[in-house]
Amino acid sequence: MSTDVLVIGGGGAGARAALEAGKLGARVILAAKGPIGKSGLTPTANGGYLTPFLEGDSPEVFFDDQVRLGNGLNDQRLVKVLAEESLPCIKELEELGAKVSWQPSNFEPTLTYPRSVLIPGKVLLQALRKAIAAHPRITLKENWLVTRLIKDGGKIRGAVVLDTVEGQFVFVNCGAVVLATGGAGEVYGLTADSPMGIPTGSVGEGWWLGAEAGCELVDPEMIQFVAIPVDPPIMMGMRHLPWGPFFNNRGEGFITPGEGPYSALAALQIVTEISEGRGPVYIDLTDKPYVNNARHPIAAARMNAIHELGMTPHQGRINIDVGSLFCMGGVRINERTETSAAGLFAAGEAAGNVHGARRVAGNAFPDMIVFGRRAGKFAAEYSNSNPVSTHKELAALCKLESEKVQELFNDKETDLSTNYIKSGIKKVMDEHARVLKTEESLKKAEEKLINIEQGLLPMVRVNGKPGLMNINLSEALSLNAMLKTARMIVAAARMRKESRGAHYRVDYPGEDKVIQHTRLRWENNGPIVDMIPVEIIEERS
Amino acid sequence: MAGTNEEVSIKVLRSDPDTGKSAYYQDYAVPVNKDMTVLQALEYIYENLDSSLGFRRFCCGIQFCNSCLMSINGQTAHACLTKLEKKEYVLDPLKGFPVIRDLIVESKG
Repeated sequence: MSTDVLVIGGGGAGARAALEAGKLGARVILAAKGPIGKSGLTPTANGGYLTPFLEGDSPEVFFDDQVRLGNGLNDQRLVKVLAEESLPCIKELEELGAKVSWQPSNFEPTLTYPRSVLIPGKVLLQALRKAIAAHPRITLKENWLVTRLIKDGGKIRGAVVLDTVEGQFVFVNCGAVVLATGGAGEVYGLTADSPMGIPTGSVGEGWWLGAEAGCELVDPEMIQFVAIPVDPPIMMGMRHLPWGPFFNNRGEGFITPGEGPYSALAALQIVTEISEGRGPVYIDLTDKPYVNNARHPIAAARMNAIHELGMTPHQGRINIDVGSLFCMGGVRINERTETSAAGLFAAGEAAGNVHGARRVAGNAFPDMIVFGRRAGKFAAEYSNSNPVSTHKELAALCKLESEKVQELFNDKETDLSTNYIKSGIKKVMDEHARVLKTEESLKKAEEKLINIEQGLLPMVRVNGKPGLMNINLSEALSLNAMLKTARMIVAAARMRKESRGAHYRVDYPGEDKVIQHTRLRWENNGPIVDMIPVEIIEERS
Repeated sequence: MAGTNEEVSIKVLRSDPDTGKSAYYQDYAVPVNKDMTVLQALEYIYENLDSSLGFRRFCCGIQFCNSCLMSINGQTAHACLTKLEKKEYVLDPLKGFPVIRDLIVESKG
């Protein structure tokens, strides 16, 4: 198959990119692992969208808030774009038919203005999907799994894709690719990225697709951790709790007053209680009458549903721990969403680093829409100047991928399930690379991950046959990317010998005077990491 | 999970249009306590008992996306909102949609 722009990922960033590229005259294929609106992380979000729409607010104030809250680690050129385009972008969504609630609210008390409006993920995606499905130049594939990006003459020129219904590999020739594959939070077992314990597939497949193709990653160790319920099992990973009060096993409160649900300090305090033997940490509001005081309609609906399930803290004690939520870092982009691989663009949670050391609640949505739109635009332009051509070896490349898949179905000396491997990776990351990191723990994580990669991964055996949405096959195909992504996170975390925002080093608890990004490439079978200064845009101090 | 010897029987309609065999119910014994949902039972089956099982493996967590709609004991219901309070559950794919396989039906987003 041939197209101009191949967009990988069916969340907000991918959908917005596909629509923009199509509008600008490009032929587009949007390849998603599942149906738009019923897969990935966008539909799971609260729907907050930060934008400078209030009287007195401005992109300049937005910028200053963002960089301050990001501990100065943000890529300032990206923040400037976000600040300027957040408002026009949400107005465009409204014009597409997405209902926006303009009632200002705030999940982040230290913002200068309560500049969050509300546009739930499903609402946003429904509007985008409708426009995409109606567009003559856009082909929507909601059961396609991209397994490899292909370079030719130093440029990204295509991709190998598994059609999970047909069970066959397809080669897509294209002029440009947009990576909008979301985050990597599910390399951890303790995560808010798997509501009710059901995976969203956020294992960083796009980070590996990019790194394998020669891309730089920036700050991949900067991962936001938040309090998550872990027991009773229905509540696993569902971050809808009233915020506190939280107690340790002595019935003592310990969270610093004023810290909120997205506070890195609160997360650190919770894991510290548990790791020092004062767990479980819990919330218990059984002595208080149930009251649904959620301000957003989505949050309110959620609370009602949980109440009907009998699962609010008013109805019974809920144990909590700390899990991954959002990746601030990712595939490194400039304001044009160009990565360091020619022909490859990236946007949304897959890209970095707009948010710095900490994502402000409500900023993931403007990020994915502003940069999704830009990725569509610049990918379409690039493809215009670098038109698609038919790759000479496409049949051979597809055959190679087919053979790898065939091997997964063969008997091994010892058959291992995908679940066994996944659980192994998650355990390593939970125990050695979560909130309380040390040089020793990270070194151990790397060793254990390599053992899994070399000793266990080759023994994965997949059940069934390709096609008809074989979940086990799709999962098996993601394991290598998951392992590599975990290794990249660990390597970058080791390089950052300081504590800043979401990143905490027990052995380096202070913040460096000089603010630097970590920068990572994958070379010679391993991660190579260095540090580069954060650029201060001239017109701001 | 809280220690309990309780098991629930989950019968899932299996089908594979490729083979031309007629659909049949496969019975799984899932260890539970009451604080689990049908969707979590399906995840348990997939992870621990039978990785050939087909279902829409997604939960939005806000009871908003309809991905987990299916027929549960003859009634259309959300698997994420149905707690395992009975001894037996019979799961069929959502009525009125073309079946891809097992509990997976075509989705228009």
